[in-house]
Amino acid sequence: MKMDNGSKLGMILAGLGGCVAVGAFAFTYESALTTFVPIGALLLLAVMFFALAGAFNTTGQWTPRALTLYAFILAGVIMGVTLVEYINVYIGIVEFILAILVIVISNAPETRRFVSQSE
Amino acid sequence: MNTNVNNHSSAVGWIGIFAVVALAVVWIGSYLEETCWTWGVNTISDFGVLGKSADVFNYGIIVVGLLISVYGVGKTAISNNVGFSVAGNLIAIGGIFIAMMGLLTIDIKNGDYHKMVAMIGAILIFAGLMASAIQQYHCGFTIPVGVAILLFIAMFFCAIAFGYAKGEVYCLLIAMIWAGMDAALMIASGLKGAEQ
Repeated sequence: MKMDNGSKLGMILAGLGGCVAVGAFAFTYESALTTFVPIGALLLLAVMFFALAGAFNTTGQWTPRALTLYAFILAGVIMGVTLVEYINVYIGIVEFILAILVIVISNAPETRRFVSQSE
Repeated sequence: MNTNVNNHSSAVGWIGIFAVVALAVVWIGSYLEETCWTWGVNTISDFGVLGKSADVFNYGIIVVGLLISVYGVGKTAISNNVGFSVAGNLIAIGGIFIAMMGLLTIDIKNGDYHKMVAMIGAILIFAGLMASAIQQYHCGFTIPVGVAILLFIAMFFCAIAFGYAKGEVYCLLIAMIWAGMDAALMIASGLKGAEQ
């Protein structure tokens, strides 16, 4: 089955979220104990975003419903680490918007149909 | 004349919405009466002993607690599932403890009684909302459950990272959103049991 545009966009946006997190990590990094928590939070976001990007496929690890719920977990983690100021607030806003867009895309009927296909 | 409670799920949902709105009104009203309350420094319970706001807060929180309790009883009465029934019971009992906050203010016995009823009430209502979210998942809802997960994680971070006062205020705000969503879902879906 040909990949639908929604799945492509979801994959791109989730990948972009991961790249933003890694980029922010690079700018945040200093050889000091005080940066451990921020870089840890950014690495967590990067890993979660890349895992989400990989799920927009017929060989993905989750059902469409699990994918949506996972995206909500990611959005919750972003909101949490931003509220408690572990990461820069502007990075948090960008990441949160990307996560919400991925949630919206993951709920589109065509995307759900595509993700639920098995090869 | 007999009243069939199953026809009134929307009314029960509206009571939940009123409870959330009433809490917001009590909060704002107390702040307008006593502007020395500081965001992130004072707890919400401080309104109960701060000069002019004391009456507004204490009587208001009793009304809010009773509304929450009525919402919980209604949720139990209309539910066909164990999850919603448990949720309703927990929320109903939690509401009574919230109402007791207005009677046992923090200046009584160093605030021990107040802390006890406030924490028991909050934990019971939180557990009720969790039970409701779990049952919603089994009933096939995805977005409301997802939002509940999001709010739960945000609440978790606020609880562990902020101090007592700031964490309490943030967690209360998040809980108000969660409870409002739970009540709105009852109105929107006529939620009674397994059907979506």
